[in-house]
Order: sequence, then structure tokens, then C-alpha cells
Amino acid sequence: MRIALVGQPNCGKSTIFNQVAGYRSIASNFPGTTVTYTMSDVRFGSRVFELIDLPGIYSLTPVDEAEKEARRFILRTGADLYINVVDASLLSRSLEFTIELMELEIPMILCLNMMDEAMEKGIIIDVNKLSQVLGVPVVATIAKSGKGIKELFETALKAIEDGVRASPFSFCGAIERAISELERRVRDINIVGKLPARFLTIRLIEQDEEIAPLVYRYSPDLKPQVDELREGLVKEYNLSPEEVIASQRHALAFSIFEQVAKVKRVRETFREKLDSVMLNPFIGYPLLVIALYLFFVSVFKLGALIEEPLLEIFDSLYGYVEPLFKGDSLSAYMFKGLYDGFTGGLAIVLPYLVPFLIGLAFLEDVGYLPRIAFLMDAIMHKIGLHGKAIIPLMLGYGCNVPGVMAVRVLESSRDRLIASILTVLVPCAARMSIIMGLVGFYLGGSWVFFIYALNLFIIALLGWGFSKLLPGYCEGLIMEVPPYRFPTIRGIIAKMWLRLREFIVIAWPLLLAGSVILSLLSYYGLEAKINAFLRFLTYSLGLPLEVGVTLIFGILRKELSLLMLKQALGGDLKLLLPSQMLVFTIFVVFYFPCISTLGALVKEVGWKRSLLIVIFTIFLAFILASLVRAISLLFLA
Amino acid sequence: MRDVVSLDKLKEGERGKVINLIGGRAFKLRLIQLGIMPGVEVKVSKSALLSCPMMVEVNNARVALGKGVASRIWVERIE
Repeated sequence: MRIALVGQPNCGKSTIFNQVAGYRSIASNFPGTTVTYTMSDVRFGSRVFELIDLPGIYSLTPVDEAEKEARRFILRTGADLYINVVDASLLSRSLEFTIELMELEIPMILCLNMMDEAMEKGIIIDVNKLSQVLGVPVVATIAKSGKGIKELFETALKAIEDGVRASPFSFCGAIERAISELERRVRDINIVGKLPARFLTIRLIEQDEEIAPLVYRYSPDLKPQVDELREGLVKEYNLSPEEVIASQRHALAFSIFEQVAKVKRVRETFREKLDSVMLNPFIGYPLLVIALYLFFVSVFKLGALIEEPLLEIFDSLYGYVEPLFKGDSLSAYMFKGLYDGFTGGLAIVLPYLVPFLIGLAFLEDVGYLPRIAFLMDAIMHKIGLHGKAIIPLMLGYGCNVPGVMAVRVLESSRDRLIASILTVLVPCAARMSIIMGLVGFYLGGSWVFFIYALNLFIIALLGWGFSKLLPGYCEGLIMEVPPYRFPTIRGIIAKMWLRLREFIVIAWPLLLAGSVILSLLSYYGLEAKINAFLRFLTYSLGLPLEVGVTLIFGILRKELSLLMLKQALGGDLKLLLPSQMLVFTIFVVFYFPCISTLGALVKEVGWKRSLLIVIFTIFLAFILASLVRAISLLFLA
Repeated sequence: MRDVVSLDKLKEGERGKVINLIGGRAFKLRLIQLGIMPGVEVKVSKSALLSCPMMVEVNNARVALGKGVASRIWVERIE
């Protein structure tokens, strides 16, 4: 049994999903957090079903890739029941999509989520009346606090037993006449089995880019009739038929809204007033800089505060375990590798990763990301993209994989390509831990700032360059801006844990395995061979020979390169000169997006382009690292 | 007399009724999906300062529109 959550972006589908499936789907306060669907088996009472969290979709005519994915699921894969999640505070607009969904005559119920926000806006909804008008069960919920969730799934399971099915509304005037006339013909042909004839008819009149050609392939003689009908409608309404249908759905939704809801005038809330400050260009930009500065400084300070005592503890512990590592036996080599891998992850990576992930979750949940997109729109235009492209970049700071996947929120393939190249250059949390744990810890915070600033400058420069190279028209920003919301502590911790788990269950074991492999390599003398092979690289960058093999490990996970380096240098990073630390970090920050990012990249832009991007980043890293080296040599001399 | 202007000309707090959207299919679709379509009333909650986008309120939702986008939406000013 399969139940799918479907609804417009940012209505809380992922929050509902997480309430019953455990925290598995990242939920944030901005439209388009979910770009691909997440599934989970859910046990509810004595029943087990599969729950699917679909990407948000404004209408069944998709504009971006994430919406296409959701539509593909609805039209092709399908579910036994759809829960149409609706933001109650945006009921009128959300119902336009509900009406469209009902045209599919699918088994569905409606979930009226965010009832608290509707209340705050002075919207009082008669839930029973809404259910009567729509002809499907309606359940009111506040997913954030779990209110109504149990009832929602009880209702869903009962709806499956009862065989609840939506039936479509009719439009009025010439458009309805055109639909009924054409529907008879479509019914006669009866081609695309599962989809209802009325739905297909509406799609033909709307000239759906996917469905229309499919229908015409089966029955080419239908096309002249559709074209004739469309022409008549344009004459009648002076608008394109798709605009007429959209405005009729709009009118229908509004009249349902008026039947079931009362709106009290309420005073402008503090949250609404906040935007006139946050988005004012003269105050907003300084605030943005301060917010990001505070974010990174607090991550750095907090991380260093924890790293220092941890390193001390492990250094003193080392005295006790050292006898185990004595001697030239294979087991001694391996023990030492394991010890270094384990302590490195604990002392160097985790202290920065945890506060970083908490801070990121907070920024996401409070709703600041779309504001950043708003503020950055003017600047992003200079580098040939629009404000929404800041979202993949921002997410990239957490991890490049969701960053690259988030390019799906961009409408044009040119924007997606440029944004994905730029996103893989963003220093993710793994690279952040290298920057902070090595450069920050040994050389000081201002060098951290230098690396981030250099990175940002290079990204802007490349964006500008690519947009000149790949000419194309930039559509401009059209983006819904959700209200500020108070994040729940539970939500932030759960999200941090979901991302941290990735480090603990994937990166750390990889790290330990890497440490053992490195020990084996050095035991059998292969390490020296690989290092010799990479000599041209390390030598020209002025790095110790031992760095060579660690750069190969860094392709798996960026943190590995630092931790392996620690091991390769015999456990002491202070053996590196300050300039070598800088050169190494710059190279690691820019070269080769890690294996997982490469996987995501291939999905979004294809093999060939991904390979080109990889080669490009290696060159870029080499050039930048050489530059930094030359400058530091000049200053030292 | 009807006072028809492009949306970016409206000042903060002013309202307008959408008359026409000028652009390609995807452009129109995106706007329509967010509730910006002919006949609908929008309120400017943040005007386009410098080259920043503007923000309009439509149907209780807030939508950010780039300057170029707003200049292709024609509205009738409502006093």
C-alpha cells in the first residue's frame, strides 16, 4: 500500500513525513527543499504502508525539474492514496492546485496544515464545510507540533478502505462547452488507459508539452479539432486557453474559499514588519554580512574551544597506547592507522561540524535563505544568474551533494549548468573542517576569512566569465517568500543529526578504512611509489612528498585528505610550514568535487560535462595554490 | 481614466489589478501558478529599490519579483 504526500512548495509535506517516518527527509522553511522524492515504510497501528514525500509542485504543468519529477510520479507511478497537503494560511491559492489534482480523479484526502498560522492571519476555516464542498475527507493539522497527524493517517487508511475518489469540478461558459465537446472524442479513442478522459481533454486544450504529443501520436486526426477549438477560445476570451483555464480554477478556488472561510482583519504582525528592515538594501546587506560573519566566527570559536582540549587528551593518551604501535609488524602499523583515523575524526572534524550544522539548520528553518536570495538578486544578475541560484550555493556550504541537486529549482538548463559548476567550488562542511581545523587552528581566524573571501571572489569571477561564455537570457527572479518561522529545537537537532549521521556512518568508517589502507600502503612501501608518481604535483606546489597519497584519499571525502596527512606526517600537523598549510588547504578546497558530488553532478549535467568540470577544478586548484605559494614566498623573502 | 503602468512603477503600499503578462509560456505559467494573473489584485509590500527585486502580496502570499520580471507585468493602479 502506497500513500503519497503531494502539495505546493513549503506547505509542510516533509514535516508530516518526518513526524511518522522518523527524521529522514530534510525539511526547511523555503520552497523547493525537497527536489527528489523520499520513501519510507511506516508502521501505523497494525498497518504498514509506504509513505512518499514528493517535491512541492505549484501546478500539474511543471516549470522546473523538481516539479517535473513530482508530476512524473503522479502520472506514471501513482499511489493508492494521495494526501494533498495544503498551507491553510494560503488556502485560496492552494485550492487551485487541489482543483487541478481532482481533475485526475485520484483517491485523495486533504490535509489542512499550518492551522496555527492561518489563525494568526485571521483566517477561520470551517473544516466540515470544506470537506462537503470538495467531496473528500479533510483533516486539520499543525505538523510542526504533531497535532492532527494521527487523525490524518487514520483518515487516510479509512479513505483507502472506503474507496474515496475525487471528482472534477466543471468550469463555465465557452471553455466548458469546448471541453465537453472534445471529451466525447477523447473518450471514444480511449488511449492512455489509466488517465481520465476529462483530464486528457483539459491537457489537450492547455497544449500540455508532454501529454498532447503523446495523444496525437495515437490519434493524429484529433489535432486539427483541438487547434480549431483553441482558436475559437482565443477569439472568445482574448486570452490563451491555458490562461482562461487557470483563471477559472482561480475563480473556483476563490469561491470555495469564500464559502468555507471567514477572514478577520488582523494587525500587521511583527514577523511581517521584520522584512521591511531585513530587505531594505541599506540595512539588509550589512545585516547579511553580520549574520554570516557571526555564523562562521561562532562555528570557528566553538570548534577551536573543543578541538584544543580533545587534541591534548588524545596526545596524552598516545603515551599509553604507544607500545602497541612499536615495532615494524603489520599489526602495529594498522593499530596506529586506526588510532589516528578515529581520533582525527573526533578531535578535528566533529568539533566544527556539529556547531556548523546546527547554525545551518537554524538559518534554513527560520526562513532567512529566501531573504538572502532576495538581497543577492541584484548581485547575482551581475554574474549572469538570478537570485534563486543562491539557494544551491548556500546549501553547498553544508554539503555539495544537496547543493548540486538544488539546481533543479532553476528554470533554464544554462542556469543549471553555471550554478552547478559554481556550487561544486563552494567549501562544504568537510572542507570547512579542514579550513578551520588546519589553517584556523594553527594560523588564526583571519586566514580562515582570507580563504573564504578568496573562494567567494573566484566563484563570482567564474560566474561572470561563464555567463559571458554561455550567453543566454536570464529569466529573472520569481520566487515565493515564506514567512519567518520559529524553528523548533527538536526540528533543528533532528536535522543536524540526519546530516551528522552521514559523517558518522559513511565518512568515519571510510576514514578508518582509509587509515588502515594507508598503513598497509606504507608497510608494503607502496605509499612511497604513489607519492613519487604525484611528485610533479607536490613538488611544484612546494608541499611535502607525503601529501601526494592523501590527495587521492581526498577524492573519496575531503576530510580524509587532512586526517590522512596527519597520519602520513607521523601524527603531527605542525611539521607543515604555515605557507604549506595554506597551499595545501587552497588546493583541497578547489580540486575535484568529492566522489558523491561527482555522482550528483552526473545526474544533473551528464557525464561529459561533469568530467570537464572535474578537469577544470583540478587546473583551477593548481593555479590558485601556485599563486598563493608564490605570494607567500615573496612575503617570506 | 484608467491608470495602466508596469508593476515596477508602483510604490510601496500601492495596489494594482493585473491586466496583462508579457512573456513566454514558462514565464506566464510561473506567474500564474503563484497567483499573479489577469484580474487579480496585488499589493506592493516592498518596492524595487536600487536594482533589488520587489515584493508583492497576492492572495496572502508574498512573492519576490526581479525588476525585469515586474516590468513585464501590466497593472491598473487602484486608488
